[in-house]
Amino acid sequence: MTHKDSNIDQLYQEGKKAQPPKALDEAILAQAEQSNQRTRRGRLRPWLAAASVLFTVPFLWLILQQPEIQQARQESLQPKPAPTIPVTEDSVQPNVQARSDQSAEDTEPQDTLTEQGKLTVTGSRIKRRDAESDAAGLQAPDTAEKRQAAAKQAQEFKELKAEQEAAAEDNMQSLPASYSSTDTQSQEKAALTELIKQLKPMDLSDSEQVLWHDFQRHIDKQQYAASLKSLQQLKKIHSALDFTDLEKQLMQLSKD
Amino acid sequence: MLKHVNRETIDNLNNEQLMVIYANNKKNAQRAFSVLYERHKGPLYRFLLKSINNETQTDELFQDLWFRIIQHKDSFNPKQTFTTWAYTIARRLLIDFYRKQGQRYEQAFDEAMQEHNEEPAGPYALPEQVLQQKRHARALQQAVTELPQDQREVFLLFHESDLTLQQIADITDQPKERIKSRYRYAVKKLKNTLQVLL
Repeated sequence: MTHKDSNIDQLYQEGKKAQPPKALDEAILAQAEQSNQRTRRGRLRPWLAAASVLFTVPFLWLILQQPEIQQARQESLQPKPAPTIPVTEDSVQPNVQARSDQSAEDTEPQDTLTEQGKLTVTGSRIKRRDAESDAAGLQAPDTAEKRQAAAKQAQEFKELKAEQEAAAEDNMQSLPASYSSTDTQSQEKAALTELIKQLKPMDLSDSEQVLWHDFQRHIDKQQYAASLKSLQQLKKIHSALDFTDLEKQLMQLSKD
Repeated sequence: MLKHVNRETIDNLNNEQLMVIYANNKKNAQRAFSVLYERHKGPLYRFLLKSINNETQTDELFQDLWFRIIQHKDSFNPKQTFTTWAYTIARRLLIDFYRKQGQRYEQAFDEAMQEHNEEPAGPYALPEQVLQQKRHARALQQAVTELPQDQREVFLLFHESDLTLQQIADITDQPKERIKSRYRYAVKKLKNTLQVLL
């Protein structure tokens, strides 16, 4: 039997009237709509992401293409002008200029560039490139005025250098004497301290220890005459000890 | 075919096509769902109602059923018929319902039958013929509730949802011959009961 029993089915269909309440229908349909709205929003997400990228990239490109930004970029990429290295006396101009009363800001950078010739950067070295200077071996510019000015500046530089050298010589002359005397004194003191350590008697009575202590205190204060007295007192009490070397050094120091 | 559907053509589409439109959230998706719901709300509601014979609980189960259909719309396979899919979900919900109630399926049917017998008569007086038909129909309803659970399930699925016996076999995960046999026994019992009652 694969077909419905007609009598039973007819009778059964007559009794079929039950339907879900209307409120239930509305709730289910609302749920169906809400579910699809969520999905729709979810599906839009990748498109929104792609659209935002597509919008942002050309926008950024347009901003970067603006002439002001391009100029700023090029300026930032160009190397900063480095100070020139003086090769000969004639080419020491920048340093002399810096020491002179005229400030660097007052001079036109264009003039300096023309005076010095073109600067090219090759690796870390900075070379002066000029057709004539190449031929003359880094010579000064060619005009008579410029030569005169350069000679004047070189003269000023020479004088300044001579002054500095003289001052440096004075310092060198005064410094070694003071340093040498200080060194000798410290060496003698160190030798004395070492000798005192070696000669310190092992078994000393209380009164002897007081004398030794006084002796050391005078040494520390560089009161060598007083320390010599303390040593002589100690020698009287402790006649077996030999303080001859120590006495000699102390006498020498007290004389100085 | 489903790319260009307007509101008029939607009504002529089959259940599976409607479900695909709704599941893929295409244009007129809500309309497709409405049509699908209108087609199936009665049979599904009555299947649940006659299975548990309690309106309040039927309402809850019915809502739960459609919410599940909405929630799992993406898992719908267009090769499968919508009715098979929907009644499979409904049947699982019924099994869960009885499990929660701590009752066996058969026991639940017995109680439902008692409630059904205690139902009061309608408030309005009916003409003789209509009354007789109503009496017959009610007798059949009563007879259906007296059927064993497995026969009753097959009978309801066959007469409420217009499913084929093969589809019922798929839903209940039983061989077709066993479903055929259950239906045959169900009809025989109903006829016997009706003869006694009428």
